[in-house]
Amino acid sequence: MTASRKVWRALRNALLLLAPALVVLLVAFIIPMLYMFLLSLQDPNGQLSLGNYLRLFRDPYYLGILWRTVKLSLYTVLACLVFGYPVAMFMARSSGRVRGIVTFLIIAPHLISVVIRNFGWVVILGEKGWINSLLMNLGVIDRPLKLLYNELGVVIGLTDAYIVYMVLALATSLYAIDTSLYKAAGILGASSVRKFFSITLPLSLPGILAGSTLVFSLSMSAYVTPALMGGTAVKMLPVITYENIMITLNWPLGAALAFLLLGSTYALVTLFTKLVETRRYKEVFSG
Amino acid sequence: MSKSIDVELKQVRKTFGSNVVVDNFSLQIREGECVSFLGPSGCGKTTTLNMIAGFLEPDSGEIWIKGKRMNGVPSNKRELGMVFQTYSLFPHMTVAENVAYGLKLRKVPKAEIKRRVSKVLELVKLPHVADRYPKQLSGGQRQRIAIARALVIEPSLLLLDEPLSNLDAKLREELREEIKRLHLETGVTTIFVTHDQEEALYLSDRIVVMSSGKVEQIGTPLEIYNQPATEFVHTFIGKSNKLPAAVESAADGVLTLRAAAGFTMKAPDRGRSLPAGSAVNAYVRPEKLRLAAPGADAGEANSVPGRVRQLSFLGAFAECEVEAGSARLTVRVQTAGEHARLSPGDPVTLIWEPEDVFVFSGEGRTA
Repeated sequence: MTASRKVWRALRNALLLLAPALVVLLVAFIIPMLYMFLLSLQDPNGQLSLGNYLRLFRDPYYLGILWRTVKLSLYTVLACLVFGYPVAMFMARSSGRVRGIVTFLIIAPHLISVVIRNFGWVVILGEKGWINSLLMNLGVIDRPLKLLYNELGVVIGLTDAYIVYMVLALATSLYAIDTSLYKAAGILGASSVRKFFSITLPLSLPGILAGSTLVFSLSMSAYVTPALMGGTAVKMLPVITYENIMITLNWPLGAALAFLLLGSTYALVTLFTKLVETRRYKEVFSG
Repeated sequence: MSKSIDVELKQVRKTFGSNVVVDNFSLQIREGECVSFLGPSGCGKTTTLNMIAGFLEPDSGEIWIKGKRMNGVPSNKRELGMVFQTYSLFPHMTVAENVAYGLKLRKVPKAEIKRRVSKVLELVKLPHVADRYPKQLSGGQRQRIAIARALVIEPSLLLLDEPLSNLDAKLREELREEIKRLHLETGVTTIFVTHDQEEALYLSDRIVVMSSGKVEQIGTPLEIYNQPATEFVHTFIGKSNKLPAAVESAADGVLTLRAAAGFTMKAPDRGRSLPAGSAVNAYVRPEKLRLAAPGADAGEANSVPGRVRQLSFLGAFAECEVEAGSARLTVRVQTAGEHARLSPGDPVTLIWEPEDVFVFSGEGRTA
């Protein structure tokens, strides 16, 4: 009797504490989501239909955009890993003070609006931008390189926007590695390269998984950067979703695009997590 | 039959900034010997070990292992085995993979790796844990695996860096015996770093006692215990009663000392020729003091009347604190003996042999 009463009281207290957050989530997230979902299931006459989804899967235009969105997000993840890993390793090896400074330096640009940062890239990467003028003046090239309004421009912009998440996730898992493991590997005969591939890399897997998942989902759903740095040539899913809802006013199709984005992101993140979290991974990193 | 010199340190010196951490360290270790570096934290023992391992380079001096000069040779090229205080097993590898790591780097064929891994796991008596991960093992098991991982590559030298410090008292004793057994079975030349004098006395053929970067004494456990070279060595190894005193007279190698506590005693001067009048510190170990009935005849031995202050039971023996003059001396007594039944306030006579008194000039450091 008393035991079940205790459980009840704990449950009631938990519900009371959660109530404000639950109300906000319900009103601002769950109801709009349900509304959007119902919307995506309507044909132009307001009848229930799978037409919007069928159209997305039959039309090569939309499938192409889905593929491009996935592809550029993967490139962004790879770029963040390649450029972020050395920074994270540097942070993990530094003293607390240096680590603080580096953390500030990589977070500082994010205090500025993403729109302004993207325009900064336009100044640097444009046809008459710094990079092209420098290379032309040095005589390395005789025509400006196309660095903007193409897929490369989008990946550069997304990498700049999200690399901070990768660096912080990697650094967190690199801090956790006991440095005496490197000594142990060294005395057993491992070179620096060998230590990196046999110790550092496998033990930073949780950081790689967390960072990649974050950067991938953020890149999939990014709107501003693809819109500004990809222009009309490199449209991504969030951009055409926006166009359908705000410009062509085809809300049902826009809603279906939004759910396509949600579904594909969720599916790919789940697949990636399953691939990384092998039995050994769970054995080593859980608990 | 003299064995060859396996390790030689020649006047090794290391400084960090203006801080001299190891100074003028010279040592020769024979093949198959187990030598401990013993001293309090900050004495330079770990720094010396790190220089032998190749994690640090000496500022000056030379390190030779198996006839090869090691200065400038990176640690992964030194063919050493090392065991760390924190075990340092690779958490993402199974026990077998941990042990095989060094063999894989040496491109040993797979079948031989398998054979050698299971052989070394037998040696440390843990053949059944090969497929477990380090975190599924107890602290003592982890350290055994770490030792196996170091031994399997058949190192020219085994370095043990405080391997027992993270274990509780019972396990520490068990593993201490295990290390002694492994050393006898494998015959590998071993350097053992510890701050625990009991471990050093138990395990080593020779002990290097260090303090503040300097070697205080190098000797067998018996020499270190019975013929301490400095006051530091005497006070760091075992317990001892300190009696500040002045030399009253010195004749025929026998000193007569007047202790500040208010009594006189005789002590051998051990060739140190201390002149009369010099201030010294005299020491007597608790197990060298005997208790006798008040007024008992001490013969040629030193004796002083005293009074029991308290008795502390410690298992096989007890410690009796006796007030003699203004000094309080600790006396070790057998628990089974009559003295264990003394109570505070009982009058006694303290008796000790002159040769059990160690006299130091009083200028050296103490532990």
